[in-house]
Amino acid sequence: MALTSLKFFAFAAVLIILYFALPRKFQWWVLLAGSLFFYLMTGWKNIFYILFTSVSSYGAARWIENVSHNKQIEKQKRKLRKRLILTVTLILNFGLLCFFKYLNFFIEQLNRILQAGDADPMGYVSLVVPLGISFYTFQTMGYLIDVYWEKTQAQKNYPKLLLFTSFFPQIIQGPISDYRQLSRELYAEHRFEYNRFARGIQRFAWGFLKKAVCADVAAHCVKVIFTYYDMYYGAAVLIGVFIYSINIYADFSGYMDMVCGLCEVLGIRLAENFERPYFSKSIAEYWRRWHITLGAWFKNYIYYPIAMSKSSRKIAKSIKNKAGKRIGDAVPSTIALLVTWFVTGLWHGATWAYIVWGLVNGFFLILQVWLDPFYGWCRKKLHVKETGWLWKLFTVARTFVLISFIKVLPEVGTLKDGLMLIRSIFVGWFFPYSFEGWFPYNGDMINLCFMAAMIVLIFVTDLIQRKRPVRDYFNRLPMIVRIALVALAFVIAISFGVRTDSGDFMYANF
Amino acid sequence: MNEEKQTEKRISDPLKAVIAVALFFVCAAVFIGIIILPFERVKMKDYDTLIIGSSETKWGMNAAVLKENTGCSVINLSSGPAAIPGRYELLKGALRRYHPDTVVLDVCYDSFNAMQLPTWSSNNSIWIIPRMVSAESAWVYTTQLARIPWYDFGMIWGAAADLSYDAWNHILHGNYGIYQEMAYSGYAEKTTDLFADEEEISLRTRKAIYFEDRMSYNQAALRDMLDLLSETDVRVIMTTVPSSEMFSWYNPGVDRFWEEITQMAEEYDVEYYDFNLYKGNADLFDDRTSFRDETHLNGESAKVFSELFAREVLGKNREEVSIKDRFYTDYADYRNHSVYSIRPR
Repeated sequence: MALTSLKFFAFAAVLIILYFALPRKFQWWVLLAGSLFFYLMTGWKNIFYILFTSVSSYGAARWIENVSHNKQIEKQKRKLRKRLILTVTLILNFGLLCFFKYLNFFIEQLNRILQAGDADPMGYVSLVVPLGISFYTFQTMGYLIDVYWEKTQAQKNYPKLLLFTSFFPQIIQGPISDYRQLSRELYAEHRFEYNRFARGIQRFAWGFLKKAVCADVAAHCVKVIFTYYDMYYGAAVLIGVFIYSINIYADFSGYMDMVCGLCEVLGIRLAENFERPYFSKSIAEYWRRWHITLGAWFKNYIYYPIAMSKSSRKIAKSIKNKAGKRIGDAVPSTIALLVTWFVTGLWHGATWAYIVWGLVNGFFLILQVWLDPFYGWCRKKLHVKETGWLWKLFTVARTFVLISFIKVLPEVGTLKDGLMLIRSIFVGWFFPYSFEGWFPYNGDMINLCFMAAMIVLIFVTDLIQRKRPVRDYFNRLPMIVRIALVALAFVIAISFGVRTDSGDFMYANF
Repeated sequence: MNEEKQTEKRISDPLKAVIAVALFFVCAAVFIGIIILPFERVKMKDYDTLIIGSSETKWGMNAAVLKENTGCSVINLSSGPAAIPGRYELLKGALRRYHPDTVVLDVCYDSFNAMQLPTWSSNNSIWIIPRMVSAESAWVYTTQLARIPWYDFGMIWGAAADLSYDAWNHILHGNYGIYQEMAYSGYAEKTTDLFADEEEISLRTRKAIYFEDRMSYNQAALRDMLDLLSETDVRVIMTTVPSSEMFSWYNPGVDRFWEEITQMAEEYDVEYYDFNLYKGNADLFDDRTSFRDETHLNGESAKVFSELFAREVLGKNREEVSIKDRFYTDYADYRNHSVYSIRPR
């Protein structure tokens, strides 16, 4: 059931009515029933995997908590037993994720070795990855680790944990919520409030516009350019690269706006995933503002445990003695960044291109760690005012260009293709004589007009949001005007947006 | 008191929501009524005759005049400096959208001999613009680029005022449904003054050279269009809009091109009328006053030609069109009988 389909709108409408019509103590049951129904609609077999994840994490969390509270067991043994339960559960769940996402990748690598030794290659396995497995596995394992770290208590009510695992608005592509934050929202009773309802619908409409009018039309253009990049002008490929950045942002943030808007109607506040990422002044800042919840997960459960581990501290100490404090401090974070970004790349896709994409991002972050003092020195020498608007503009543009170039690396297939695409930008630099030369597009041109208008609108709203949420200005308008504008947004999105048959969102593929 | 207020609020909030939802649907219905339905209606509007071609027909065929003289609705989707393959996609879309009874395909030597600007992919689904490799083509494209704002930006204002689907379509697709009048004349004469002798014209205009690769490539695309049309019951008319006599005189390539297209027309059993060979041309067109350049009619003569085309071809059935009486048999015949006023030395 695609989020942009009329079927989903009908589903959401029924759910909202039931949610507020039934006694409040049943609200979370309505959400659970809705979530399971939504998930079943994606394929009945998928439900077993999500049940496995929720049951195993429920049992493991309860067990860990019981062990923690069992004072009859020695502290050391308690620790070991807890670690064993956690490790086994993590292996089982991440193993399931790896099986679906990476089995064919491993077979491919193995075949390369076998072929080098003249052995027969292994056959690939036909697998359908369960919808949202990367997202719900990470979210639920985050909960389990938090229970292990005693940051939160284990959920005693299994259906409630199942709701946390399967909550339908975030199952497709996040956000990857923190248990402590989301559980409060999910299990609480919510009263119907008109203002919240209206604001939720407004946000949903905005997300729908972004997705249907901007992202899907842009995806169409990008697909054409990226498929035949070697036959286009460098200028057209460059535009394609930038349009891809807009495409992925409109797609992902559009989805986020839709689900956050729906949750707002229900009185549930979801974690935000974007904070105007294309206005970032550095790669590090960009990753703090893009897919925030995934970044936070990696930071909390991979980066910090590595950077703060005993062995890292040991290494840091020995380097400090030999090479000085600055290098000593930088080495553990460098190692942690490398591992984190290797895993981030792998999480996004089972290809070398994604792994390299992750490592390139990590490389730029490491560069920042090591060269920051040098950059500071250069700025000082060149009398660059960091607060000046020109410098800010330069850094924002630089980051956008860099990020756009990095983003396309895994998008065209193999790593070689990605590099060839980037290369093709710099050859054949002539001015295309026709509109098609600049912007190859064979769809209905009226859609392209609306897409261009949406890009401008997204840019302007992001610009305004620096100071204050745009919705604050919007809600100053008279009620009838607001309703008319929301209706217009829906009409435009349905009539002039390009909706794919499946209504897929890009991040759902990760 | 507080509880009372809260109960009141609890009631008023759902009520407000119900009113808002009702208003939402009313607004949506209004928007659909005033924007979407008229848009769809215009989008779905059918035309009896569809013209697909290059700048020769874009400027040379006036849809309004054709309609006036035949009573059929006509849309001219001829576009600017594009090679033939791009028109295939346009034709495909236009057939789907306009359901025409007659399709006029422009087959003009000059555009078939033009550079291969757009090509398409092997699956025929999209346009591909190959890279430009020579400085010469870069120059041509740059000058073309300089022309585009002058032409298309003018149309944007008209479209903004009109907001009709066709106008938008016109701007964005380069689908020239709206006729644009080109009034100035005398280009051919100036060119003739400049290159006064035959050899120099042949060498310097480049147009005299019959480019094998371009021709075969563009003719293959024309075949694709004819294949597509052969699957329908549409009347297909291939035509060549008159160019200046100076152009016809000095281009040996036009003879060969005419033969090839005539063969193709026979093969596909479609009509083909080359109006360079029309016997009455001398009375209707004059190199000094009828053309904006050597191959394009100006606004006034486009009206004249459109009347002629409606009278001789479009307004008649295939069987009624008389080739024997009205047209020279080939270019050699035409040259023998022509009363071309600017004769070479």
